[in-house]
Amino acid sequence: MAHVGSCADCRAELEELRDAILRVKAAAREESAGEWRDAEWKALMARAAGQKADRGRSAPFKPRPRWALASGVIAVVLLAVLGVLFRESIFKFRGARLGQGTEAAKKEEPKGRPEQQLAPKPVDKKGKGVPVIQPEYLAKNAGKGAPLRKTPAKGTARQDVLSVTMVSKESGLQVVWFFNRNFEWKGDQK
Amino acid sequence: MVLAGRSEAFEPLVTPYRGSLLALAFRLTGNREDAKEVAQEALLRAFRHLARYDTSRSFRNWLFQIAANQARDRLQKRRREADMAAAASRELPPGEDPEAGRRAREFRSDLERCLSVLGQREREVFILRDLEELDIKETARTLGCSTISVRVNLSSARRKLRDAVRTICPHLEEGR
Repeated sequence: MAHVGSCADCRAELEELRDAILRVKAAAREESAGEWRDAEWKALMARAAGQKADRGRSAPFKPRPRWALASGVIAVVLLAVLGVLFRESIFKFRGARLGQGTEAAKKEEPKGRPEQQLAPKPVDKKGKGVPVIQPEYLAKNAGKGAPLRKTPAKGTARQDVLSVTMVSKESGLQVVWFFNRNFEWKGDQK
Repeated sequence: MVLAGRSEAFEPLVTPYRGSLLALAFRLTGNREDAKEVAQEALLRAFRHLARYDTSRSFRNWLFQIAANQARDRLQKRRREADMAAAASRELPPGEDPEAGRRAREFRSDLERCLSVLGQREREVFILRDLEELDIKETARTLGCSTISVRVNLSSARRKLRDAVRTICPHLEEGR
């Protein structure tokens, strides 16, 4: 504004602009833009009152935008794909927790003859499973001295009870002998 | 009261602006028929979306904002229609241009002829700032643009109008 005060040309231009605006404003005031007829206005107000107002923030249900719906669908599909991809590892983990290595135990189970597999597994007095010496092993090592060691080998668990199972090929009869850790005979089971 | 669900309170709320709203719509569209439709639609929309009204703001300016948006939509639609008519007229024999005939019959006031030299944004800015006397900030808010854009367009609009008053409507300049 300081420049306009000192510059005659700019002041003249500013005056011209002001004058033009005033004249346009005057013309706008004089020119009628039309008017609402009363019936027209009443009809419009009735139409407005008849339509459903958008209650905005207090609306109980607000439709979600399309992107929200699309995101939800993508998340569900992604979860389904991940579930299929990692299904095996999830079940393995659960199996290990529940069965405590049953899978490994099953893999190491000896594959004997059918009659041996059908026979009940020998257990001790407390109901715990005991190791079984197979008849083939006994036949192979007959006369070669005691096949079992009194003290456990290095790196193996110490064993308190030992059992020897003998199975008759003809009758299927099983006899189990039990020994303590000093190889003293403790009893048998038929 | 309208916000509380009393629809009958809407009429007393908008009645003070019935004239100014129609006038604004007319200045923006340059056509009485379009102006009435724009004003009607603005009022209906205002009622529908009253819950979005920011009570810290002037209700008149909020109403004007809706009307300005409606007018812009209407002008764009008109332009598309004019383009289609122009394309169709090229296929007609010469001398049978319906759009040219319509334009020739159309009455255009001095004010409208002056305003016609302005671009769309310049026209909106000039009408809101200089004719409706909104301040720069409120004009920017109403048009959804920056205050800088308002200043630039306003300056350009004023210069163009000064020239238009000189050349197109000299009797306006003479005060007739």
